[in-house]
Amino acid sequence: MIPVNDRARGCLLGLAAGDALGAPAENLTPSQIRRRWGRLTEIEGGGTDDTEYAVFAASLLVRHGHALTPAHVAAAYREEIIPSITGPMRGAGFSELGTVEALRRGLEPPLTGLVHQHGWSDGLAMRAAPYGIFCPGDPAEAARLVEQDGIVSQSGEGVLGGRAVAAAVAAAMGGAGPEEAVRAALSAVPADSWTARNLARARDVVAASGPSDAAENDAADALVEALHEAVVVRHYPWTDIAPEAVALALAAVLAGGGEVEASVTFGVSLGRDADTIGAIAGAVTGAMRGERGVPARWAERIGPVTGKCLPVVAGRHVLDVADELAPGPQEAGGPPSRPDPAGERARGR
Amino acid sequence: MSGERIRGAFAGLAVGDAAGWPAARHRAALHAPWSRRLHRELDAFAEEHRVTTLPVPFALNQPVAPLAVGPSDDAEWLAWTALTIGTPRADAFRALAGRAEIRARISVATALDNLTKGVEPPASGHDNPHHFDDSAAVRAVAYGVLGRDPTQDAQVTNAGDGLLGALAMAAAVSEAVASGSAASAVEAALAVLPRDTAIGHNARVALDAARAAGDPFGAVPALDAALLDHVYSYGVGAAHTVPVALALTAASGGDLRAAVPAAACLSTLADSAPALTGALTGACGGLAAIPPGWVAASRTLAGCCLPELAGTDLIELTGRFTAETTGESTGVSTEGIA
Repeated sequence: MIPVNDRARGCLLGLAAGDALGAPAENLTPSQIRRRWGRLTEIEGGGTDDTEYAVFAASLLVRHGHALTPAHVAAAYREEIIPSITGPMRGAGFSELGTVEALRRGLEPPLTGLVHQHGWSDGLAMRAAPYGIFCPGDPAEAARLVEQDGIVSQSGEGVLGGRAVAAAVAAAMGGAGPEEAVRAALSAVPADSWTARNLARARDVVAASGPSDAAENDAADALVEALHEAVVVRHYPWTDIAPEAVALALAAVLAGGGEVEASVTFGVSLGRDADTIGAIAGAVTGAMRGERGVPARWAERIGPVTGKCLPVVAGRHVLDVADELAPGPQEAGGPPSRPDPAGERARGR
Repeated sequence: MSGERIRGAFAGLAVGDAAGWPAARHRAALHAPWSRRLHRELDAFAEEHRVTTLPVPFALNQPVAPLAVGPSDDAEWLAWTALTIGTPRADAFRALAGRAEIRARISVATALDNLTKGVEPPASGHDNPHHFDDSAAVRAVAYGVLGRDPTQDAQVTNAGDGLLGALAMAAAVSEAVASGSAASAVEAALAVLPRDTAIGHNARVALDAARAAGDPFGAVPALDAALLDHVYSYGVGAAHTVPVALALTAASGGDLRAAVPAAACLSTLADSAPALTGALTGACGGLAAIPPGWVAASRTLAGCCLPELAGTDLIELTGRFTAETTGESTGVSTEGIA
């Protein structure tokens, strides 16, 4: 039995690794990705908004816990995000940019998430994992809690995408495997929703392909194509559609059998919003397998976030954030348990 | 008088459609693809050389008529709606699926894909990244002049604010055709726009901004500041275009000659806000109140989105549509249809 703290560390490490691995593949087609890398398995650079916004969401939970409200979240945007935007708001998605514009106009939630056009963006789904960590084994509470955050910046399917991911992570934190995590995601959204329909389609496609297909090249290519056919919107140039990204990410978890590297590498091979797909797949499988489930060579590449998207979180490391969300026995007054990255690398050599 | 106002709604939409700058881009679809490629390359040249002389749609070795002032996408989709209004809506759209030559908004293109995959309404309009756009609001003008509910049509391609935009346009056009009153038309639209939706909130913000500015042209900067989404890349959101149309209709007292030019000045929304504004004010004032030169330039469809409509006279079509769907001949009173 993997301890909750270990699952929390695996979850956020997996999220950060999936984000970083997928970043160069974002908005590429699967065939472009194949031509350039074959299978993209090695992290090339840093993570993006997925990791930094997840760190920010975790800080809200640490402060407000289960009492978190949309008003708390809106206040945090006003006090911690907006003042540090001195020029362009770099590295933010449409939903966050639209929310900041709405807040600047003096609007309050839920209008802040309704008045911009990108309510369905995956901006909440990409940062939903901390809510699942915070509610191990309780998908319903994780979904309720992430919605408090989501109401500020999303609406409709964007909120549902966050609920689905938080629920899947909460289930994984409680020991669920891939199928059970997907069931938890489905339990957190109405059956009559785009998210539920896409999750069911993606699950059916993976089930029809067989569990080992994600690892075999030709079969994996066929699965990629079938998943695109099932859930990808053809006539729209932006790829951050939550019902699409969440379905592709959880399909990757199923296709990879819940194993971190297999799931995340397959997830980013799908292209589209590859960094967010990788981040979600990494978070869910990292929670399933714990810190040691994340390949060591990936973990080595994850340092403190730079704050390039959210200056307020600069310098935070996801492992410290995980320890705050789900303290291990040693955290009861003791120092954080993050190994010294330099020491780790030295030992590796 | 109502037949006159029905023709005013259709002609007004076409005039507004023609008045917005994107009409020339849509109409350029009638030219050879290489001319549009050259346009894109000239755009890149302007960017590279930092010259502010921006390229415009042009007709090198091709007929210039498509680039004259004239109607484009919105007038054609309204005409298509009038022509197919007797067909169950999913069937009418399904007949378009797979036709590579037609052009449509993202909501419509996605809905056609959904229908092909067996995703029926309302999911076809809901499971749609542009469920919020105003494609159904444009088509709702056909339902509004008849006093009919546009929901079945709107749900094929839209949901949420996109559906509410259609309901609001139908309600406002219906009231304008019945009474000619801009104020009553705007009230009818507000009655179907809940305050806790983006479109309902924005409609009231836009009306306040326009009222404070005093006249339509004077309201342009205030509408831009209070309402417009300069973050997102496409300007056809019903939560923006419909509120602007309502606000400019109110501020102009239903005068198309004041309202449509103001809508065309909001460049982000110029693809459809002038058309919606033209439909509302055209319905208020009737065909005779629209400048004849604009009617003459805007009544013949170009076929830039639906090629089979090239050459169709929208005013004649409106007469046939009204006669067939109401059982009354054109030009006579159709009071009571609302």
